[in-house]
Amino acid sequence: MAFVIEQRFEDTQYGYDRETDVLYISFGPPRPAVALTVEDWLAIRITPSAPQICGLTIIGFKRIFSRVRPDLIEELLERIGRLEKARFHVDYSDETDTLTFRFEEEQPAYYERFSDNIYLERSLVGGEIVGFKITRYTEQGAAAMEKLLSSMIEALFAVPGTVSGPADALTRAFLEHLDIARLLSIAA
Amino acid sequence: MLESGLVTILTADGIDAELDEDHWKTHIVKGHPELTPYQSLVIETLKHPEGVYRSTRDSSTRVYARSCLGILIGETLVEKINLLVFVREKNAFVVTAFFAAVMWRGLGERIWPL
Repeated sequence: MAFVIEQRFEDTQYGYDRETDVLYISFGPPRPAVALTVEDWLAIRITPSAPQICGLTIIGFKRIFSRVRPDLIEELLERIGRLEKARFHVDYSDETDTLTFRFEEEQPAYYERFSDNIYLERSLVGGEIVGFKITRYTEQGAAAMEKLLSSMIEALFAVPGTVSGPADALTRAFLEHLDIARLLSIAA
Repeated sequence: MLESGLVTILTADGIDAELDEDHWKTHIVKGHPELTPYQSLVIETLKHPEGVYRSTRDSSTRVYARSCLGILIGETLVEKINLLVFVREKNAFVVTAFFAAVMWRGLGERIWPL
């Protein structure tokens, strides 16, 4: 079934539970949701009725981020307020059986193969990653999402310099859309 | 609801887990409002989980997992979903909990039952 999800993150609310080191991020007021967990410490919260990302929960936020590759974090501290400007556009087409995911405005771009049926979308100007697409989505979409997320998680905790170029670039692209400086200051 | 400020629950793997009423309200349910009517399920999951796992990236946290049937998330009835409850080993404090529809990359090393 074809669908389009357009989402912005202007009204982001943060709650940090200092006693247990859990960070609750809510896009708008907290709403009932189910979690898609990426490992056990990161929960992406989705409203089940009209699928929308409504928040993130990070368990052991300070502990986890103290172990993330420092080169990924240090470069991000000056990027204040990126999340408020971020937008996600997810589009699934029946005709092509392709899921397209963008976190920047559509712009002249080209595709770079990430793996079998996953392609990273890079802007023509600058070569930044602005999204990705997954082909043969009906049969292989779930496996492709797992592969993408696994690659990013492994990149987060890898020894610097050991991560493949595309996985590293995709991880950086996502982190750039989180207001890491603000998150760390909340948890300080 | 909890009758007193703190409830101690003997978990399946032998920990006296502590669930604090104030923490339940001000953090767990505030961040995850779908849990409001399901505090008894959280306690049940600690007592009778289907599995207990050591968190993948934080070995000091245990994850209690149990599948639940007929859970209302807002106005949507979910037929079957997993409830995950997190307990910090150091002080046996119940850290947080949520319903997980999808678990990519699993839950870490299973420590109960062995």
